[in-house]
Amino acid sequence: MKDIKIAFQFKWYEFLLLAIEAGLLFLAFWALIDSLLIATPIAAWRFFQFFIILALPGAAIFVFFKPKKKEA
Amino acid sequence: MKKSDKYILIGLWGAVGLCFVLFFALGLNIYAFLWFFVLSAAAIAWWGLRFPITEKMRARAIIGISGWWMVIGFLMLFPFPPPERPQYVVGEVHRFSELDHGWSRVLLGALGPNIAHHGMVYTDPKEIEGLGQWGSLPTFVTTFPLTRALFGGTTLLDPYRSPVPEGGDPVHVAPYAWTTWKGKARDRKLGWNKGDLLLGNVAKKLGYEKAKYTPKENAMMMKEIALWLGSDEVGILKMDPRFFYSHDFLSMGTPLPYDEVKEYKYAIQIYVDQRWRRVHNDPGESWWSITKSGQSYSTGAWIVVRLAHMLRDMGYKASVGFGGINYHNHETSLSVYSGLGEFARLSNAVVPTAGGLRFKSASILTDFPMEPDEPYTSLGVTRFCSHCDRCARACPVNAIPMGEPTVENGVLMWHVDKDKCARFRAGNLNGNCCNECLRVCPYNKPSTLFHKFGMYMVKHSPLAPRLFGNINGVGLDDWLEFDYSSDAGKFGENRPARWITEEKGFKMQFPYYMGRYIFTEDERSPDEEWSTGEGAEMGKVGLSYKGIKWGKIPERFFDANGRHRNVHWDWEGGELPKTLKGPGKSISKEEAMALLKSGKAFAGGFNKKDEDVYPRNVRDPKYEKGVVTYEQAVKMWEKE
Repeated sequence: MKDIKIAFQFKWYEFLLLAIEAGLLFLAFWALIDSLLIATPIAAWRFFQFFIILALPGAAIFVFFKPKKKEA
Repeated sequence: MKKSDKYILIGLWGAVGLCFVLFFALGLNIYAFLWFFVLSAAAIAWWGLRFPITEKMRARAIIGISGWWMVIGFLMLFPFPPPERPQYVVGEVHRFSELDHGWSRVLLGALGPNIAHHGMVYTDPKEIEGLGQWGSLPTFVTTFPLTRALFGGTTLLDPYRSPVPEGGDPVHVAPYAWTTWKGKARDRKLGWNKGDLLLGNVAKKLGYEKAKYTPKENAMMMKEIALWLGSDEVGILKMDPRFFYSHDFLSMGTPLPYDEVKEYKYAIQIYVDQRWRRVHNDPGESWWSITKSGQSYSTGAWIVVRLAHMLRDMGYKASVGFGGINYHNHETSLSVYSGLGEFARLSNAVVPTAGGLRFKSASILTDFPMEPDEPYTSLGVTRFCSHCDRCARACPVNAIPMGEPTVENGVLMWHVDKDKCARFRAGNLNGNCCNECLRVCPYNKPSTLFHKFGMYMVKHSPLAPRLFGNINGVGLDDWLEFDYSSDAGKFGENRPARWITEEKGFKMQFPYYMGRYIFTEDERSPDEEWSTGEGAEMGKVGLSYKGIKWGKIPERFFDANGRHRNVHWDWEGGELPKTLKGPGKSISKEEAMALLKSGKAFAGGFNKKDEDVYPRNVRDPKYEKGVVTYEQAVKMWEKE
């Protein structure tokens, strides 16, 4: 059986942004579930979209805005 | 990297800047706000994919956006002190006559004969004769089995409002079951129970079990019992005598002098939710609208009647008020000065912990000494309403003001056009009554943790009311569309509004004598021309339904003479005859003066001069001259 090794390494500011993005995602799901529970499906979907959209710039920086890896 | 990449990047950032400008230029437009984020993400991604990025640039970008969110988070979540509650009393405040209530004006014919006969339009002709045995015309509350059951429930309880008549009201006093005493209260005081023991959770909070009857303990016990009996929220306050109506509606004008109520120094205000389940799932102007009021009124009535009887049996005086229109006082002020609500754009009190406007209140006036709640609790409601006009936009007859608060009767607040509001509710031709304003209010949500989180931000954050507000129809709640998102689907949408109008050229003849009350020229409706259909527009400007756009009343609703047809949507057989007369009669000024001076008729209202108020003793210059604050009035009333 092979060991699976997962290693994360974040700089402190990356960790800060990750926490913020996680917070926005949490709000998106909280809003989605809360709105579905009170029988407002349109509001649920739009609330979800709202927080996801707020999270997009941070996600774009995290994923795309980085130095390109030099080819081996 | 191509040259075009650079142009695309500049274009994307330009679009981001444009969204930023449009967000503010278009009144915090939610679409500009969302596009700002989407385009920012696109610009950042493009930049990262097509241009060389250094670690330093990445660090700056991440710290920059994190800093932005930390500032926003601080502004939204830090417990800033809520805005100071506005000082609503800014001038001379006269007692309000219940006959100047919008409903009274409709039902007694002060707004015109057609609207006074509104029940004829949507009551099956076969039913009208049967209802006639009650001695009155059919109304919107006597039209359907459920409304009859619910409002009939409150009528049944009328005789138990007080053990003795006060100001002619209640009309017929009945003894409560098992009453072993007569008069207003038992002459000997009885305790809560045999051992005089407090309710368990109250005892735990106080740290003792045997009652001491301190004001604090009394307040806690009354609140606990009221909550147990089914109230969704309870407030306690000291009475300001100006809260009492000067004249009573049920007895059609009987005055209520201060002497008859001077023992009532305290009020207990209870709230019954109209329930999200129904408010959310029916159109605000539907045939079910009136039943939501009836449900809360009758439930609230039953709570306060039982509580009041307990107080009387304990040896205290107690009189109750409940809806539809069976109060000694106007309710909104009690909600505001119990610290549970604030005056809102709708003129009514928004009580955040009772679904905003989604409640009906009932009150107990008593001499049972209780510690009042803080009357000047700041809730941020008035501030929020200044950034939100959803109710005003939703109102089918544009009765709710869009602009700034104004002063009427010495009170600085938003003043609804009560004649338009009451005419539409009584004369709604596509439904029965209306609750569209409370339905679209952002405070109208079930009390979930998420909603409470939102209310916390609205109360404390200086930024949240601006972002959550919806002053230009482009706010967060507008985008979320809670009101178009329900289990009812398309059946939860309103039809374009229509309402009963008066004949063309109608002009009310004053003085108008009805019951024991005389309406005079001071009480002429400012909407008389509008009430004939002139210049009338529907609310919800810009929205459409089945090809009919809100804002303009469709041509086909007018007859050949341009008259707004008084028939309801589904049943044209109910058109009103053109020769209707009001339930009262117009008399000469001389006749009116003779009746007033002989004490056979009364007149009043905040808008009358002192010399035009009959009888003389319903006003008191101590309270009604100069600027008297709530606190000053309470202190003076305590000494009476």
